[in-house]
Amino acid sequence: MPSPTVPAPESRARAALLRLACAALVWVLGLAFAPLAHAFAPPALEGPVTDNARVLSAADKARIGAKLLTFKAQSGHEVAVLTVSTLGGETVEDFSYKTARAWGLGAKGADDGVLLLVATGERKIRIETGKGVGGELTDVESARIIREYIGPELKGGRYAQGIEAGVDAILAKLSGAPAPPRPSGGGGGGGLFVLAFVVFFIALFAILVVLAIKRGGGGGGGGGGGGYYYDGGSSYSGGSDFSSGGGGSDFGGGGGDFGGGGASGDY
Amino acid sequence: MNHATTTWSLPRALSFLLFVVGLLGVVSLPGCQSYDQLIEKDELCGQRWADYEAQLQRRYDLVPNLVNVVKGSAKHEAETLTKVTEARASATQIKLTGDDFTDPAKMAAFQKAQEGLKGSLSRLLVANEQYPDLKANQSFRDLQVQLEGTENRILRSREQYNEAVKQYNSELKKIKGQAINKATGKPFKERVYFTASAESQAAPKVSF
Repeated sequence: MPSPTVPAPESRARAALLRLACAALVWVLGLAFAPLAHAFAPPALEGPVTDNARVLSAADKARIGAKLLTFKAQSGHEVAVLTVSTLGGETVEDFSYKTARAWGLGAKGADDGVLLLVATGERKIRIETGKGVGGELTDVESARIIREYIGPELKGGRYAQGIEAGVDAILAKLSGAPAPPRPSGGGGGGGLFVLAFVVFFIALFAILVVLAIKRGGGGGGGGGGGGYYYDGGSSYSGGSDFSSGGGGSDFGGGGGDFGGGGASGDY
Repeated sequence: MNHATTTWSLPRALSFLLFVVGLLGVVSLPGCQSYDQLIEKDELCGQRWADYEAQLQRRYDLVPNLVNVVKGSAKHEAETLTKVTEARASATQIKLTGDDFTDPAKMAAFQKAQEGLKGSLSRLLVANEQYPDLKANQSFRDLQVQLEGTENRILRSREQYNEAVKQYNSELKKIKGQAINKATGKPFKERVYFTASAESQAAPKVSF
């Protein structure tokens, strides 16, 4: 009976609903495509060392991370290491700049953060320096560290050595210490290098001997079991050390600003 | 009769006055905040511009060193070198102040002069790829690294200037911002953005 009057409001309501649905669809699509338009989302900060490319062993990561945390405690400088397997179409400069800013490395105002980025897919290295470290670690110095310390090692696939040598060189620059010796591949001063190598091996041998004597003395009864237990203990202490810095909100987020300083290189 | 003509008693007038003053206060407080925001954001733009100019100065300072090093090794590049020197001279001539930042034509002229220098420098570096002894020259390599670093810093400081301008302009376009701008005699004007030119899109790479 009321049929002639009812359909009008109903269809109007339906139209409104349809319009709403369309708007919602556009909105959802917009959300879905927004990341495509902007494309870049910085990787999550995991601590001083974020090894997304999985080129470092747990021990390497813990050792380098502990070094960076100690350095931060001593000098205030926040130096982070990031490895990625791909830059996702970004230039290495854009990737490191955006990541370093998003992570807020270094203290606000001091802007004393540094990011060492290695992209294994594109075979690119970049040292991104905060606005406040340009004087201690210049672009030329950064380029030299990439060329002489990191590049040759990464070329040989020795990621841990290359990254650690690079970190050592960066920390030395930032603290005004003399440059550390280059790792194996460097070439350069031949005689001195061989000498350093020999000295290193003698020292290593001596340390091994001392360790062996110590372990033999301390182990007493069950030598093998004691050794195994000792190893577990040391790796545990390493782990706790790392998590104390990485787990806390201590690293990153300081709001240090970056201005495109640093240098890039290939390997 | 009694209801229509309300006679104003003293306490009533006082409380009305109080109400008006209170209302004015409530209305003008956010206005003041908005004014302060505009000032603050304008200031930040100025700061970013100064950062940008500092990076441009780095580029200017690198040019004489670069010219000297290249002069020694690449005899055939006299013309390229002259062009670089000329481009530097014309780039340093234009200085923007005050209202220039709100003038698209002046911004464009400034940008064009800077890009002229950038272009001539990158042509110089490309030309120098042909000189092996220059490529092996350590001070040339260092200058090249410095120049690359400077170009990247210039790019970032331009981006950061644009970010600051975006904040400032959008504050100015808000209703509150517009109202306060009108009320104070329009001291604020929209700043002009840097536009990405074809040249600045291409990465400042030296090799072909």
